Formats: sequence, C-alpha cells, structure tokens
Amino acid sequence: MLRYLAKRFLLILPTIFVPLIMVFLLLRLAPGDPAGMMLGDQATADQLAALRAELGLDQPLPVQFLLWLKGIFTLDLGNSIFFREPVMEVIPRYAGVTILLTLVALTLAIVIGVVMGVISALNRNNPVDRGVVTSAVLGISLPEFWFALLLIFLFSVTLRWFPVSGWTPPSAGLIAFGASIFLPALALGIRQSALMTRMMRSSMLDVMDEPYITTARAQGLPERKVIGSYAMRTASIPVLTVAGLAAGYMLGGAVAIEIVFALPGLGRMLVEAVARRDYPLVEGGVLTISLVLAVLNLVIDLLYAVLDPRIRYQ
Amino acid sequence: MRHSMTRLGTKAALLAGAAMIAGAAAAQEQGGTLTVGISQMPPQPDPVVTTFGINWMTAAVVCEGLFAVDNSWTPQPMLAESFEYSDDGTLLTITLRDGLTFQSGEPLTSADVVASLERFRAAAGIGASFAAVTESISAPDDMTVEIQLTGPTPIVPGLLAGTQAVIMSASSIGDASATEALSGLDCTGPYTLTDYRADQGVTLTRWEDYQPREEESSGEAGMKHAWADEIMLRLMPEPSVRRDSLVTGEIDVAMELPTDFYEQLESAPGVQPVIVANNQSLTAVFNTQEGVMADVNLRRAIYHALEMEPIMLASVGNPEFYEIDGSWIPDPNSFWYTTAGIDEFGQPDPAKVEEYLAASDYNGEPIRWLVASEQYQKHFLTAVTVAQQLGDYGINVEIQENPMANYIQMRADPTQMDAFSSFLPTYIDPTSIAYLNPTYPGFWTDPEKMELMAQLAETIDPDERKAIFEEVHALAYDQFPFIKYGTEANMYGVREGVEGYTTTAVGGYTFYNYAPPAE
Repeated sequence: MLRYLAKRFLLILPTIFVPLIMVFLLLRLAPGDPAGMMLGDQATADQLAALRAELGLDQPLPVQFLLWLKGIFTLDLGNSIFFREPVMEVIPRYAGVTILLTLVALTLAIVIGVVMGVISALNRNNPVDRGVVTSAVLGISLPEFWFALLLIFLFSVTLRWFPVSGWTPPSAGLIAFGASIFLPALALGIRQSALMTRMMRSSMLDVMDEPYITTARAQGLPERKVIGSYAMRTASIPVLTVAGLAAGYMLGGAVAIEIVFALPGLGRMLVEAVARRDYPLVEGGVLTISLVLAVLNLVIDLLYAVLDPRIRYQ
Repeated sequence: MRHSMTRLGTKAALLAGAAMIAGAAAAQEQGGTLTVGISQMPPQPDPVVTTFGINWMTAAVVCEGLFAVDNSWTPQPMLAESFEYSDDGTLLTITLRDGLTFQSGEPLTSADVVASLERFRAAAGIGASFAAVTESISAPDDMTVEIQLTGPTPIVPGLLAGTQAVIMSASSIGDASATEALSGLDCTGPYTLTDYRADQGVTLTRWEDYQPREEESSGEAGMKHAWADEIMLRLMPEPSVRRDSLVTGEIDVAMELPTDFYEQLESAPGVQPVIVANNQSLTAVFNTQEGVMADVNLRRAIYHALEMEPIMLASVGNPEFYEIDGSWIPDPNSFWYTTAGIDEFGQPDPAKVEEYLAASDYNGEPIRWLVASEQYQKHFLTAVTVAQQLGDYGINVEIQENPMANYIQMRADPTQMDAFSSFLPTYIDPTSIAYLNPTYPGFWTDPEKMELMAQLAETIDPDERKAIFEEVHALAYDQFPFIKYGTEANMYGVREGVEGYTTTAVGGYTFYNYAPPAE
C-alpha cells in the first residue's frame, strides 16, 4: 500500500508540471500586455515600456522561464502583477471559496444522484422511473448558468428564500453561510447529480440481478437491509468514479456560477487574471487546481478499497 | 440633428428634480446604509495607477482633488480656497482651504499636494497631459502650492478636477510610484475606506470630521451631504443579478444596467430606472499614420457612406436611449458642445461616396477593424452594421475581435490595425480629449490640427478657446480621423425612497449625495 502511495505521489509531479509549463508558454506567447491592462487605454508607449521593465517582462523568455522554475522549486510563486501581493497569499483567499462551493455542490449532487438513482431502479419502467430518467436527461442538458438564473428567479426574486448573490463565509454563521451557498451549489451540482442518477440507476439494476442479492433475500433479510447494505454499497463504486470526475469538473468549471452569484472564487479569479494577463496569478491558480485535482483523484482511488474489500493496492 | 432621447431625457430630468425637491422638502437626516451593486472593481482602490475610469469609483467617494467639476463640466475649487495666475500666465498659485485634515488625522498641507501631484504627473492619461504643461510643483508655505507652467495655459484646473488627481497624504504615498498601487486611501473626502475586498466589495463609513464646502451641490462640486452612515459597494458582475437584487431590496442602487431592462424596472414595484442622457459617444477611430486608412479620401468616403440610425439601433437596441448627434462633446450642458463643421449628420450621401472613393487609392483592400470582445454589444454590433453598409460600396471591412488585453496592444501598433471601435465621454477641457492626442492610437498629427491644439492650450479667453475648438471640430469633420455614430444614454436603477441620485453624465459616482431609503 505504501509503495503504491509513493508511486502515485511521484506520478503527481508530471501531472502538475505539464499543464504548468503549457500555461507559462501559452500565456507569454499569446498576444496581450499586462502593462496595457494595468495602466489603461490611454498610457503612452514610454509608460508601457517602463512598466514592462519594472515587472521584468522585458527579459528574454528563457530567462523568465528559468526564474519561474526557480520560484516553483523554492515555493515562491512571485507577486501578482495587479494585486501587488505574493501569489501564495492571494490564492488561498479565493481557493477557499471554490473548495467549499465544490464540497457542498458535490455533497448535494451525490445525495440527489444516489437517492434518485435508487428510487428509479426500484421502480424500473414505471412512471416514477420514467419521471426520474426524464428529469436526469433535462438536468444533463441544461446549461448551469441558465439553471442558476432560473433558481435566482424562483427562490430569490419570487419566493425570497435566498439572497440573489454574494458570499457569506462560514465564520459569519452557518445559517447565513448556508443561505449564501445553497443556490450556487445546487446550480453547480445539478448536472453532476443527473449524471450520478443515471449511473446509480444503471449500476443498481445490474447489482440487483446478482446472485448474492438473491441469496440475501433467500436468507430472509429485510429488503431495506438488502438494498442498503448490499446492493447500494456495490452499486456506489461507479458513482464514486463519477464523483471524482465531477469534483474536477466543478473545481475548474465553477467560473460561470461564481460570476452569476458574485462569489469570489478561484474560477472567477483565474478568468480575470487571464483577461488582465496577470501571469504569476494564473500560474498559481493552475498549480492549485492541478494539485487539488491530483490529490482528489488519489483519495478517490483509495476509497474504492474501502467500499469494495476485494480491491487491493500493491 | 437631435432626437430620440428627448422624452426620456425629460423624464429623467423630472425624476431628478423630484428627487432633489423631495430631498430638500423632507429635510433629509443622516443615517442608514446605502448598498450599491457595481459591475466591476479593481484589485486596489488607488485611482492613479489606471486610466480605466470604472476603476475610480471608490476614490471618487473617499477622496477629493484641488478642483471638482460641476454639472456644466466646469472645474470649481474643492480643496483649493482660491487660485490665481501670474501676470505672464506661467505660474499658477493655489491657496488651500484652511483647517482641513486627512482621514488619518494628519493636517492637509501643501507638501501633501506636491506629493500627490508629482505622482499624478507620472501617471498615464490625464497625468501625462498635466506633465506636458507643467515644469515644477512647489510648496512655498504650508497652505500654498505653486505650479510652474511651461507656458500660459488655462487648462490646469480642468486637469486637476479628475479623480486621478486626488490629494492623498504624503505619508500614505511614501515613495510609491505612479504604477505602484496603494492598498489604502488616506484622503479628505466624506467617507473613509473601512474595508476593501477585491472581487467582493467595498465598505465606506461616513467620516464625522469631514468639512464640506458651503456651495450648493452640483455634479462633483460643492457640498457633499454624506447622508448614509455606510456605503457598501457590492460587486455583482452579472447585470441580471444586479437587477434582481434591486427588485428584492438587497441593494438600493444597481449600476450600469442594460437598457433592455428598462420596461421591467418600470413595471416592477418599488424600483425605478434612472436614465443618464448624453452619457458617451460611440465611435470608430482610424489609423491616420499608415495603411489603407491613412488615405483621407477613403475616410471621407466611409463617413458619407454611413447611416448612423441603424448603427446606433444595433448597438443600443432601443431608439429611446440614443441620439443621432455629431458633436464630439456628447453632453450639451458642456460649454464645449458644438456642431461646427457638421452639415447633414447621420445620412448617407452616395454621390459623395463615389466622388471620394474615385479620388482615393483604395482598391478593395481589407480594412482591419479591431473590436474588444468584452464590448460585444457596443462595439461588435456597431462594427458589423458598419461593415454591411460599407460593403454596399465595395469597401471591405475585416472585423477582428480580440480580448481587451490584445485589443489595447494591437491598436497601439500602427502596423497591426486600420480602425478600431471605441467610445468617448465628455471631457472637462477639449485639450484632454484622448483622440486629439497625437500619440493616441489613430495618431492624428495633421499640422493644422497640431497648430490649433497648441493655440487652444495657450489661449486664456474662454470664448476665443471655444472658437479655436470649433475649428478643430470642423477639421475633424473634414479629415475624419475618427467617426461618431451617435450619443448613447446610460441606465441604472434605484429603489423607491433613494434620494439625491444623479441623472447627469458628470458625477456618476457621487454616492455621498445619495440618501438611502428610510428603514
């Protein structure tokens, strides 16, 4: 197990470095000028050149690359061009919001997906099943930002149950935090919950035909225990795989939701940083997302063994 | 020709009048929180480091300059008590108001003014214009500032009335350069910056020791009431979210709303749209230095080929929100408003198009027309309509849509562009109009224009200056270094009970004069 872990940790390095190097090169090779974005549209050529020199952007690309590499290995990601603060201090402010949003959205997606999938499987081919499957197809098809605007219209503007937008941290109270994160998390999680519903339904239908389920029933175990302890546990493994992929999708894809709900998250920060050509901040953001994703995938792989004792890592 | 916005302009004026009268009649009391939904905010509140005006919002409430602009776009003293020119017009002496302090408690002295203005001189945009007309800034005593000018010029108060020229305490500036953003603001305005969270919002708290001027409020000048105890600027990038937050009462003011929302705001209970008429001109700028658009006859042909009404309609979407007006000063309240050189604005003249095309060297080459993708509605849709109209005459427009970062970089390089879509607000003084700056992309360096601009900068008498500017205006309508399609309005929304809000293009961020609804 330890050997497996060490191997996986080693594999994380190229997983992180390849996208980082690509981002470094793409950012600098793409047109666009951080100095112009900083000084605005009325800056003169001299002023732009002076700022570029001040930011070190006038140095040859190989020199910039070596300095950047040195920074990575010494855990110094440099200063954000626009915030004028160390990237290592800016990123956590934004990453916390996105990680919390992803966790809540993932929890909602799993709960909705598993429950609806099981209900659908237990009511195979009857109207309940068809209703769930149709809803799942709709959920997969709806763009998240559109769903977000619908949620705002229904729950915020019409019913006035939740605020339209804004971020309240958990430190301000759990009720206020819950009110501010529920709609964004639901909007972010709904598509994944639809995927999980379909996956859970299909997986449950397969498992329910397995001999050990028949054996359990023949032994007189209550149906609730057969479903809960035997069928659901095995059927959840494919859902876990989807959950891992969903977490990655949510971490990187929360941008639209963060913009609609005005959440100060990593996705929105990255989009703004790319638009401003804030190179160090973009690189720091990509590093963070790559790292979280790699670790998350490892954790999910390890969880397989917890759910299915037949799985062993060597 | 002026039309379209008249009805809304009148309504807006009536609303403003009603708001002011109601405010006066109710003998408004201080208190409450004013919550404003805004569309964007910069990482830092420091206005000196950027020429993007949208990023000056916080500083416009927290800080003050030596001068401020009134509703007729005329600079009026703010921190200055008085000012006078030497007999030869090359020395401007400004006396500061006595007894003022910064929010930190430090007294306002001429040393602070010198530190602030030296930093402003090194800044881009208006700062560069200020640097061009000044030799030095000194402080002969604590309350006096002397600005040595490169020659006689009346434009300095106007240059110092902008938000980039605000006065901050010398100790807060330290040795920060004009490109090094300060994280806080130590100023003299009616509100202090108590919390600034980039990408979330700003909290401003009324400064109880603020000493307002006694003159009546007008634009950014005169008395600042500071009605609200607190002003909260909440970042809401999505316009529909700002609208919905206004409707649900989460915010009191929703800034920068698309005009598509007008009907909804009118019919929704408890809120109302506010129209700021004559907000800015929608324009195209041509590369007069090199490439196909350096041919003046092609530029003339393009102007005479365009019908402005469909172009403005494509961009703004509702004829109630724009005017087909050719003045390069979009606000008729400005002293500088003029239609000099304009005959039949907005109507195509096919005979002249043929005449000028025949006189040009144009042979159907593609005209590289830059558009910033962030300005899709305003710029892309106008450019598409222009391209369609010009296509009828065999003029070939190739629209190049780019993110803002690329757009700014490409348009500054005369080898990479022939034209770009843009906009132009009302400037306090025509010498500050960016398009007239020979280094601004477009690079209009016609000798006659340069001579006229030099005269404009040096002439003291306002009427003489107006006459010179009218010559520049007429010259622009002969050479067409840029083309204006029309003037667009801006719209925002307020909750019922908000008073004192502005309906003029000047003073868009005067939240200190907005009274929040009663609790």
